[in-house]
Amino acid sequence: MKTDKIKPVNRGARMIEEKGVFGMAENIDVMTGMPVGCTTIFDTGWETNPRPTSPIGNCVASARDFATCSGPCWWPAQTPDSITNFPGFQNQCRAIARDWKNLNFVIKR
Amino acid sequence: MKRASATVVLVACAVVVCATSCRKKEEAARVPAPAAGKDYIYAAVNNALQIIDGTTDTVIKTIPYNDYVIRGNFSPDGKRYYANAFHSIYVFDTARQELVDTYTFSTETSKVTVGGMAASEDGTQLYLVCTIVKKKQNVPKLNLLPPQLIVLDTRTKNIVKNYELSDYMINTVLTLRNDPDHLILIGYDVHMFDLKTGTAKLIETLFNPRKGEKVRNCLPAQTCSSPGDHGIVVYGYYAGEGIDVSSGYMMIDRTNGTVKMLPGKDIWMNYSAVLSPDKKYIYAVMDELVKIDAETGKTVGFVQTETGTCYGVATSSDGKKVYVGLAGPDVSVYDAETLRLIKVIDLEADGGYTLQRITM
Repeated sequence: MKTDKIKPVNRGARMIEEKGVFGMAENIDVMTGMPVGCTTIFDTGWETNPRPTSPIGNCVASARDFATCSGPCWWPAQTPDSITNFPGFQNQCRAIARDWKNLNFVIKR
Repeated sequence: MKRASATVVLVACAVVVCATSCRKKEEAARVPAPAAGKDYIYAAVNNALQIIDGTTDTVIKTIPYNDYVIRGNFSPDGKRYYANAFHSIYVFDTARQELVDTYTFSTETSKVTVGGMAASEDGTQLYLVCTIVKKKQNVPKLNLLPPQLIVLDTRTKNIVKNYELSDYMINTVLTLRNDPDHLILIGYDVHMFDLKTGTAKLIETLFNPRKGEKVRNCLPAQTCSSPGDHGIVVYGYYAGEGIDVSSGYMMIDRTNGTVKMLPGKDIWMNYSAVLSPDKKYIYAVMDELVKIDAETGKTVGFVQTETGTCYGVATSSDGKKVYVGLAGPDVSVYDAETLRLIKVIDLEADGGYTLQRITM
């Protein structure tokens, strides 16, 4: 598809086809090889508390680390991806230890 | 803050008049004047900012919004508190304790995620580290632009400048108190960024160590600082793998841009750390609240946190109390000298790296 020949013909289409973000030039180099969303962050798991001496272990209780793990998507399989797919998950569950029964991020309600 | 600044000036003047030796003058100048006023602890939780009175250690105000806030920052003059959600910045007036503005950045075709931010020393600009995903009509793919440092004019709400960042995942921005032309950016490594030229100079290594050094894993999640404090921020790090692990503290002085790495004598994993007002101790927290000698790195004391893992730590302005909390819906107050638990303050909801103190 030769997209450069497609032109917006009405006002609505022109609104969708923006020429830039914050006035930035359109001819900016794009990083098509860069992963998008959760997988852009590779933190080695601070919450696993990887010290060689006792006490060793995860956050206590693990529920306390839930909200922020879902934020920058450190645990995208186990927690809702609140950057991209489930941005309002905190409305279901403001405090996980108290409201966990309300949480349903696999099937969007 | 003007009142606090005036107090600092008066105290400094009095010291100059009364001191009899240059050495005494220098020592006195290094000791920060106690902040005048009352302490307030800000805790941004899911869907609300909760403000704790530092005298009674009770929640005195809850200001609603609808978002998950990852971090919070005061403006250097203390007039504003910026709550950094992923796609918005919520602006609070600290004197009126009200939500006064919301900056949103994403559009229908461009999703902007703000990973970190700082306010300029004069309060007129915000520095935002953003990732931007563009979706084009009729093109079945997303383009992820190179990460951007964006300068937002807080008066006009316009983006006045943007810089492409080569070091991906910069997530912490620090302003320098005496140098409006530079920022410190923390990501894979630590850089001094020149706002005039758009160039960055490496000033400390983390993920890309010098020969013979270990890779350091630093989590600069929360910048624990208060308007008018000593200006030194602390972040925990660990180095090595397996049983060959060490940990320490990266201390960045925002008055002159210097970075000091303080190796710890013991291994502690810390989400956040703060330097006491007298600069003698580092208080750090994750699964324990730890008190570290800021000169030697020795552990002075530690206690397991009462309610479990905590993200944030702050001290009272007189250095007598330590507040730790968020992650879960609570803030615990400890005696700074003995690490004895004084009180647990219940909050409405879980929160991010947003525990901050302001004195006004």
